Amino acid sequence: MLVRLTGIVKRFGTFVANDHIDLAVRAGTVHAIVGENGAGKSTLMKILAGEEHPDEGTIEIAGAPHSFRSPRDAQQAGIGMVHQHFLLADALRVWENVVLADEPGTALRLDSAAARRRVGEIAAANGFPVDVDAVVRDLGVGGRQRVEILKVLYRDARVIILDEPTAVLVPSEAQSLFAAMRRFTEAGAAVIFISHKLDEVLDFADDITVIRAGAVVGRTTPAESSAPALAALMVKVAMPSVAPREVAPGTAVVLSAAGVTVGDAGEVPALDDVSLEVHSGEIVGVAGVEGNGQSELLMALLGRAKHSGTISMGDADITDLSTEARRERGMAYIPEDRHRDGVVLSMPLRENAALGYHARPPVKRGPWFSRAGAAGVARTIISRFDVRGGDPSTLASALSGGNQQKFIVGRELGSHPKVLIAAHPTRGVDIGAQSAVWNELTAARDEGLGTLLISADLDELLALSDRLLVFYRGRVVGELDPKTVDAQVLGEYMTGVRGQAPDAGSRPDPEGAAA
Amino acid sequence: MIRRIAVALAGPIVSVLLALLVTTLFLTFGGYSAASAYEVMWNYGIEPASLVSTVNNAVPLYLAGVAAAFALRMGLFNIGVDGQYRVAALAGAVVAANLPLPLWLRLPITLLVCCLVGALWALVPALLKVYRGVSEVITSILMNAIATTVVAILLAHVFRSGSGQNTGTAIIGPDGAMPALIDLGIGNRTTISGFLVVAVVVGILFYLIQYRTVFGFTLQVAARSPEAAESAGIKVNRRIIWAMLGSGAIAGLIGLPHVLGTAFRFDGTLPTDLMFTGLAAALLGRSHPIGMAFGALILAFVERSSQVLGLVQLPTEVGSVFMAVILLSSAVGYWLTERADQRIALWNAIRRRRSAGPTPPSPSTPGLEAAR
Repeated sequence: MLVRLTGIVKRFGTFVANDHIDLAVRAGTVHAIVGENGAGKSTLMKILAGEEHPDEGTIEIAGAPHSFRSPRDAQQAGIGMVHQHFLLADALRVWENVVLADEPGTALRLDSAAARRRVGEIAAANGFPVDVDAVVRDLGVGGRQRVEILKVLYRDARVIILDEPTAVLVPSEAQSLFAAMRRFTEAGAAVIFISHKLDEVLDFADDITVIRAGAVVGRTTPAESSAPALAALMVKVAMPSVAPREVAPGTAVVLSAAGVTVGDAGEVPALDDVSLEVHSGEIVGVAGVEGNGQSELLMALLGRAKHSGTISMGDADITDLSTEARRERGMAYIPEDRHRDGVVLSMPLRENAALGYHARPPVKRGPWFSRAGAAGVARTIISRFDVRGGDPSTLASALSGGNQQKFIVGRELGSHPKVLIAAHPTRGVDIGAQSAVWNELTAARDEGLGTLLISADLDELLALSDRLLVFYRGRVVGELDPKTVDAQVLGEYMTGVRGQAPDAGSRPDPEGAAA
Repeated sequence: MIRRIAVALAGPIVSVLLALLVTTLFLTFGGYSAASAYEVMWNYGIEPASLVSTVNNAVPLYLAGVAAAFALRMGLFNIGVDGQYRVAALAGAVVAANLPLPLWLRLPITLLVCCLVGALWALVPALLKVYRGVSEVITSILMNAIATTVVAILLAHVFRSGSGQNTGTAIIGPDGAMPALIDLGIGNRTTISGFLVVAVVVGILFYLIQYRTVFGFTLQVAARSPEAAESAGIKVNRRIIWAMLGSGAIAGLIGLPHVLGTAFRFDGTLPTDLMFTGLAAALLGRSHPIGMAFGALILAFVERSSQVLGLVQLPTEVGSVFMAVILLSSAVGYWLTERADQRIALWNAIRRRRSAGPTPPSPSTPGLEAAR
């Protein structure tokens, strides 16, 4: 065994990211680690790469125990990691990036000729069509990834970790990456790659380890397994009992998107020709592994991202309207990341209550900002939504995460919106706050609010949604009925096993793909 | 409430004390008696003529402070105030001297023209920041150099009045100059300039716009969390432009007390580096309209009173040293008082919990409430 991890435990506060994980990787093999977002895959790999220190457990490389204090230690042991988000100096050339921090020559003189030659040799030996003199800024994502891999190879890595390497690649680039991975293993190295795309895993891996909620739930090989079996292992949801709704959803369409695409020209669009409709009194859930276009959908609907296609609220086309105008028409928004764009932490709740509602009474009186009006709104939110730990003059940063979230939900629902775009409304909050938020969302739904609910929490989606859209690679690949769908089918849609035409050129057909 | 005021005052007091300490060290190591120097300065500073001069000199410093603060509240560093007021002062001098209108019309128009020119000069860095992502610190300081050249060319070839040795614009008559607000009549040169009124009005407008309007609120949100601002429908780029325009407009007024009240024309005597002293006033007063007024008065007082040191064979650089140290110490002073404030808050919280015993923590202790 080239790599053996035994009993790895990693805790962040009270959250256990890795719970006694054992992992063994043979030399000369490609080892896939699959699991949902937040399952603990990346944490485990960071531990192996020396970026995180495990709370318990041992790391053995080629039989010898190691305790890495830094990524440098891991590099010296022959472990190299290619991160999902590239760590490159844009202004430097390819060879400069590769040798950075391990430059040949003396302390005072960089032997650039030798460095260039060495990098060129490594690139040629591995069949990487990379111009070593190109400036990294000018490279596309595929090229940048090759530079990252060259960095690892330059340091003679025997174990190469790739964190979701194909997430940013077009299919042809992915194919050449897998071909390169094979060359590494033939040379005796081991490749560990993290993915939640099961087709890739089944095609290219020798061994597969499935991680769910910080623990290993399955070890298998492609020959012994199948995509549905893997999906069932990866995604496990205890079907919650859905409180049956008493008010039927309305028939009026309150929010619709037609052919919305977000992406830079020449790159794979992050959101690809998405059409959807939300009716009044309806909650439409959006399921999907994170990074499959959900964030771009949010930004497009809110009017913050450039997109093609049209977006309408009711009968009115709002494609060209600003965020402010959309909000004025009754669009409410619960953001993905409350600290980034939900609250201003350094401002009191009074000012935070006005956020997004500053252009209308009671906050706006003529040109003036009414502190009394804003404080009144804050007080209403605090009492109606049971926000604990502060009054209108308390800084938002003094509230716990759950209470900040309740405050945001209260602010957005308190404005009596027509459309609510809610992203992960209960992320990082405890069960009590979660059920409070759920109750508010269903109460608003019964009063006729149309909600688009994006969530990574499948329990939440299945409990609240009237319809469920599944996103994969920026597209709607399936529309499911949350009351009848089972976890395995949902998992297969989310991982691209079902509903996805194999080559990226053709359009998926949501109707035909529906279960 | 009392604690808030105490904390607000402690910052500037600590800064001034720090500056005094360093100045004292400077004098002592230079072989001078610090005590006697301060005594001479104080006695000269509290003469009526000195006090009047302090008030008049504080006006441009205050305007410079407010101009810097207007951008600082949006998180922008308008370091181009110098260039903005020099270009604006030239425009103001030309308008005030040539506009064929009575004073009550000519003066407000002059002020408005200066605001406009200053704002336009500040618009260049704002646009570069919004559209090209260039730091406003770099571009606004480069605009200062451009202002120097532009003013020199315009003065030499376009607006110079007369010929030969004359290097200024046309003289501004009583119909264009700023009238005195009040002559105290207690000795020589005890006239308070009408620009005191301008400064007060600017301070009030600054307060209302920044602290009381929805616009000011949106600036604060855009400065503290651009992402939250965008999601709330606040266009951050527009706030950047408006903040720089506002800052430049106020900056445009800085040179006028000199042009319309001292030299009565634009010439080489216009002070060219009021920005840094004004910035010190803004830091000392923590960008608050009243705090900055105190800051400007303190700095003007030091500047004025240090002039006497030359007469008693002491270095007049004492004033400059003091001012330079204020710039540094105002940052340190606030840091110290903030730390102390946090310590006190911590002690209070601990004491309250001890006296409360194991009963539930008081609602004002943040973070202890369990989320529900």
